[in-house]
This record gives sequence, structure tokens and C-alpha cells, in this order.
Amino acid sequence: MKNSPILTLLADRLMVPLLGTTVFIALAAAFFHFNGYPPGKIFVQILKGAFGDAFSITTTLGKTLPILLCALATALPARMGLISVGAEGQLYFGALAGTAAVLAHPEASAWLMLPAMLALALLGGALWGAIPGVLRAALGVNETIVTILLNYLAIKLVEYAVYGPWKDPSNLGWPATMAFPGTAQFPAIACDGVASNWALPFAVVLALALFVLVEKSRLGSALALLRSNPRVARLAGIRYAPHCIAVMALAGMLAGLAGIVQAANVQNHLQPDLSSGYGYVGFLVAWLAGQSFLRIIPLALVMGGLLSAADALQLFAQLPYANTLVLQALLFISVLGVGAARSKWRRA
Amino acid sequence: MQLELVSVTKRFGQTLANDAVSLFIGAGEVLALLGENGAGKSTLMKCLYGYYRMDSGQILLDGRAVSIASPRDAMRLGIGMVFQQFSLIPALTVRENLLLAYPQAPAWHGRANSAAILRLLGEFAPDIAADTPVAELSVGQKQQVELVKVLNQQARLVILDEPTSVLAPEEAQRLHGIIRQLAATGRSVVIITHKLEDVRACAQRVAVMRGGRLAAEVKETGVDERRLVELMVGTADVAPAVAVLPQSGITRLELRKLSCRGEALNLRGIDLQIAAGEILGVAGVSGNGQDLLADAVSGLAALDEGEVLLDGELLQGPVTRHPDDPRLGYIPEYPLKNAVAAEMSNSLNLALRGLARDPLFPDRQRRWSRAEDLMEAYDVRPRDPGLASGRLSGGNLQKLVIARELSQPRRAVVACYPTMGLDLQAARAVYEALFRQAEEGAAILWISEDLDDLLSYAHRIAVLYHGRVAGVLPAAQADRTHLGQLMAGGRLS
Repeated sequence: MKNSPILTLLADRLMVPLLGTTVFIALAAAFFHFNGYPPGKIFVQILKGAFGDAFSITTTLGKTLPILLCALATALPARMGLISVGAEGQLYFGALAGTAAVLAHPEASAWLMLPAMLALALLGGALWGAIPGVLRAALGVNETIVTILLNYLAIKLVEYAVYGPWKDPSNLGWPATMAFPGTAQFPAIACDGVASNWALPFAVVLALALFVLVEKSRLGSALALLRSNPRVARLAGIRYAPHCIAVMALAGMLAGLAGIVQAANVQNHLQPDLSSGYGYVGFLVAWLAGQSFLRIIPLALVMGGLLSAADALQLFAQLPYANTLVLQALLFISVLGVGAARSKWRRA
Repeated sequence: MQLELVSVTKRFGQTLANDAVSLFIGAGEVLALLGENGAGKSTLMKCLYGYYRMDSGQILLDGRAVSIASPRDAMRLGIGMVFQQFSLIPALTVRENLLLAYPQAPAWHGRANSAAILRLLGEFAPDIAADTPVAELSVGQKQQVELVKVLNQQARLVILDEPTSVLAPEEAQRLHGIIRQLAATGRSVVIITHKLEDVRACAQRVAVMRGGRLAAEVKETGVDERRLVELMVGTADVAPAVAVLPQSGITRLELRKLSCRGEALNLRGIDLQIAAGEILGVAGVSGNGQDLLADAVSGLAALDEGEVLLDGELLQGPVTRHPDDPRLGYIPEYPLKNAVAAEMSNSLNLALRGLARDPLFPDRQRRWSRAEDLMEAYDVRPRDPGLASGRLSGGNLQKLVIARELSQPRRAVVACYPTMGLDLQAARAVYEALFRQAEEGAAILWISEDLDDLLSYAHRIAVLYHGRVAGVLPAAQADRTHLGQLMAGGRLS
């Protein structure tokens, strides 16, 4: 019997995600079982905690947004062969720069406040991304190391600001800026009790636009060419340095956007624990998705759900938060392992 | 050891790569397996080495049927193979590389067993110091280390896959000597090649393959070389037409006091003028600045001083560089490294030169069909525009680059060893494409090590020695001895 080509293609496309998920569930079940938790019950709890009711969906979406943006900020440089771990720092620095606009004129009207805050946040993120870009392009400094180091620097700068000059005295020692005024918040959207803001659909549109641009346009070919052979790219008139700087700056903007949304809409202050490692989770998501901007969207949602469920599990099932890290690791190992095994099996 | 292949057949999908080939290899014999690219010689030997599984056929070792399912089996039976791509670790020394591949390598190694590992190195390549990092060896020396690696595994039959295609002439001569030495010590050698030179230098018997079949088997002694070429390609006429120098005399490409820093040596004060329609050959022993000259003219290397002018207009200088100028065709050395993006499709690699000027959303359908046409016209196989270029064989990759660079009219062409790795017919097609560009008025800068080809087809020959032009001669007045003196650092008398 001959298979139809469409079925073969579909099976081919779905095999890694399906098999990966199966392996993940098996590993996770084993993990819970040997730790004395009933796996079935925990899985139901996880699903409930992630998507069970309006509140959990709201939490999940709230976590999905920064993960999605940080994953985009990782995948874009990866398309030209740059391994950036800098989304976390870009997120922090974008939030810091955006907050400066709020603190400068807290009484400004929303029409002025929002664009100014957004512009500064994007600029801040772009700057934090461009630094490793420039160092890489001009001096050949390894971008992975620089982005990691800049993460620490950005976090420390935010800490300095909120423990020092920007601390709101009325906070009675709690390190945070004053609360953002309502004019400095992204417009909310709500539906059946599920609340989010316009940044989320915007981020999804961004992901789709990046997908089209990278898969179909000349720019995508240029990035792929630079990743594959920068020397040959010169023959095509494509230069490494400007692309490297622009891509890193653009990635920084994406993460910077995540930062300012987190400060303005989620936490309503700039405070030290701005991100619960969203930059790194985004990094994992980007690599799980094989740097595909399309696959990043559902994976960010899954990871957002997992993190949101972790909070719920900690509260209701007394399951330590560290379990989430184990689950993340198991997901990563399953999907990448199945992917690697498949490509090896194919080559043989 | 006597080896016999009986009626070996190997298919790849629709393609019949080996069609019932039978071959005998005697003890202490050097057999040349001669044929064009794609004649099935490598496939046949890879079946013998267990790299491929043959579909049908038999291997007889000393008259006894053996089954070889993997290179490990082949090795155990004393069959070794040296591939075109080396599998040495550049950061390790020769000794360490040999140790890694030594079958009885001990976990802890000292002086005593080190001697056993290095014995064959001393015998066949005494000039290679065991503690040199492999990265510092020449291509020929790396090949010798690779050969010793195979010999260390007690190989009694050594298969060499196109061993001289990557070697400079003097290195090839050295290898020929080693092959004769191998035969003298009782080992059998099969040398896969498309060069008559290799046959002449060391083979005792020649098996010619064409289209997956054994076309003929002849003794080397008294072999008619014209006849061999005929057997190999099916026709004896493989010399391309000679390009005629037009009498225009307009300088098209001009190199003025060009100086440029390289890793190994610098180019200093290069002055050359090439007229429209003229082919200027650049001769020289490899490593005298040829690759740097090509990069400098094409704009990939930064100039310290001087300039390159095209039709009197600045093309490359210390400040401005235009490697993507569409008037310039560039065929660099080592296409995998210098001319294509290996992970990207043939279709994209063929469209690469205009990429930055393409519209934001290029017409992929047109790019694809253009790639199909070009691959057909330049005989790039497999004819698949979607295949990653890095998966093409060396010869086909070279053809792909030629197709991209010479299928459009250019005002100037820089060609660096453009026929490297190509068989006679493909080389002829490359020369013809090059001459066509010249006839249409392009200035050609042609870098080659093949003095015979340079003397037959170039209009003038410049000799490069230590980063300088040692002399420029009209090809009609040049001869091998004279050029050889210049290449060795002599002066024009």
C-alpha cells in the first residue's frame, strides 16, 4: 500500500512534537511517581492551574507575553548564527528606560505618556542589545558571554535605581518605584473574565510578521547566508556588521517591550524581581522551537501555562516550585532528544 | 593478498551506479581506476570498503568469498581507504592523531609503544615530525598522515580516492613515489583518478570505467593515452578551442601598485593591466600569494595601498570595496569555503550574487526555474535546486559556482584554479565558458598551476613569486623552463 504524500508530510511534521510530548509525559509521570505524588492527579492539577478557569488563563497569558517576546528576541539573532542569552538583561534595561519616562512626568496625559514610555523602553532594550552586537561586529567578541554579563549589569542597575534614587519614600523601605499612574498602562482587553492587554495580540502579530519576513523575504535569506558563510555573503553584497548590530538591537527592543509591559501592567512598579527568569525561559522556548517564529507561539503558551500551574500547585498541592524547573528540563530534553534522534535516524 | 570483485551492482534509487562490475586486484599491484566524475569508481570502491552495501555481487579474498558489511569488516580483512576529505584533528599533533586511530592503542602511552605507532610514518613520510600539530601540515603531508593511519591498521590493500586532485604538482610526485614504495613492500594499491598523469607515474594496470560499467582493462606498459581518454569519455577530442585575442588594446582591468597583507605573506606593488578580451594567466607555485591576489581584486581582502580599476573606474581601493559588483565574476579557490553557503539550497546559491539588490520578497518560482536551467546547462548533478549545496560532490559544486559566475556577461573575471576537481569534459566546458566571456570583451585574470594549460590558452602569463610579480611574458614567447625559473625566484634575463 502506498501512502499519500500529504499524509506522509503531515506525519513527518507532527512526529517530533507528538513523540516529544509523549516522552515528556512519560518522564514527568515517572518523576512524580518516584517522588511520591500521584502523576494522574498532578497532571490534572497542572492543566487546571494553567487553563482551568478565567483566573488561571489570565495568569497564563500574563506569563506567556514576556516568554513569547523573549523567545523572539533569542530566535532572531540565532537566525544569523548569534547565540544571545541577553533577553533577561534587555527586559530589565528596557523597563528601566521606560520607567524613566514615567518618573520624569508622572502627570502627563496618556497620549504623551504611553508613546514616550514605549519609545524609551524600546530604545533602552535596543541599546542593551546593540552593545554585544557592536562588540561582536567590530572586535569579534563572543556575544554569548557579553549578553550573559550584561544581564547581571542590567539587573544590578535596576536594583540600584529602586533601592536608591527612584525608591518611593512612601513605600516604607520596600524597594520599588512609585506606582505607575493609569496613564502609563497598556490598554486592557477583557473577555469572559479573562484579562490581558493589547501588547499580547501585538506580540503575536510581531511573531507572525517576523515569520513571514524571515521565511519569505530577502532579509531572511541574508540572515541565513550570514549564519552559513559571512565571507560568501560579501559576494552577495551583504555585510556582517550592520546586520549584526541591527538584529541585536531589534532583539533588544522585543525584550525591552516585555520589560515595560511587565513593569507597567503586571507589577505596576519597577521592582527588583521584575522577571521570574522570563529571558531564560524565552531562550529555552526559542531553542525548543528550533528558532521557528511560528512554533514559538504555541510553545510560549505551553511554557506560560506550566509556570502559571506551578504557582497554583505550590499553593494548593504543596508541591515545591523547584518541580517546575525539573518539568522544564524534562520538556527540553524530550523534544530536543526526539528531534536529534530523528535527524540521526534520517541520515542513516 | 589477491582480491576479486565479481559482478558488483549498486543502485541509488533510479540511478544504476555500478552495473555488474568485475575487477581483479593482484598482490603488490598498483591498479588505476580511471574514469570521469560520476563514472562509478568511488561507489565501487566504497562497496569494497563496506561504506556502501552492494545490491548484488561478490567479493573474493584469496579465492574465498567474504562479506563486508562495514568499514570495520573491511579493516579486519586488511582493506583500507583514504578519502578525499581527511578525518584528522587539526589541533592535535601527528603522533596524537595516529594514536587515536591505532587499533591496539594502550590507555597509557609511553616511548615504547609510541615507536610502534610511528614506525610506518618513519618509513613512508620521514620528513614529517611526529610532534607537529596537524594544522601546520601541508595538504600533501596531511594526506600522508592519513595514509599512515590506514597502514597502521595492517592494511594490505589501500584504496586512494582521487588523491592527487587536492595536491600541488610536486606533492603529487611525492605521493606517486609513496605509492610505488607501497607496492614494493607487497601491498596492493587502488588509485581512483581521472588524471592520466597518475596512471603514467605509478600504475601497473588500468581499469577504465564509464557510466557505471567497466569499459576496459589494460596493462600500463605501452598504453596509448589517446585511447585511454577515448575509453574514458567516449570521444578523444577534449581540448577546448583557443580564445583569440582581439586587437582592441583597451585596458579593461588594471591593478595599480596593489599591496595587501595576508596571513602567510603580503602582496607588494602588483602592477598588471588586462585588455578587453585578454586572458592573463597567473602562474606560480601555490602559496605565493595567489589566493590573496584573487581576494584583493574581487574586493574580499582589504588593500593597504593601490587600487583596482575597471574601465578606468575605481573598483577596489584601501577605502572602497565592491565584492558584489555585478560586472565582476569571481571563481575562488575551495568553493565550499569561499564561494557557497553550504547549508543553503542550490537555488539560493545560484541567485546569491544579486541577493542584496533583490526585491524584499523575491520571486522564488523564477529563482527555482532559473536554477533548474543553470544546473541543466552546466551539468550539475543531482539536478535538484532544493538540495543544500554542501551536499554536492566537489566537482559538481565547482560547476555550480562556474554556472553562477560565468552564465552572465561580465566585464572582468577572476578565476582561481577553476578546473580543480573536474574531469576532462567538465574542465573543457569551464574553459569554454571562460573563453566566451573573453570573446565578449571581459578581461580574465586566470590563476593556475597547470603550465601546459596556461601556455596553450592564456594570452600572457604573469608569474607570482613571494607576493610579487616576477615577470610577465606573452604566452607565445614563454616556455616551461623559462616560467619554471621565474616560479623558483629567478629573474628575467
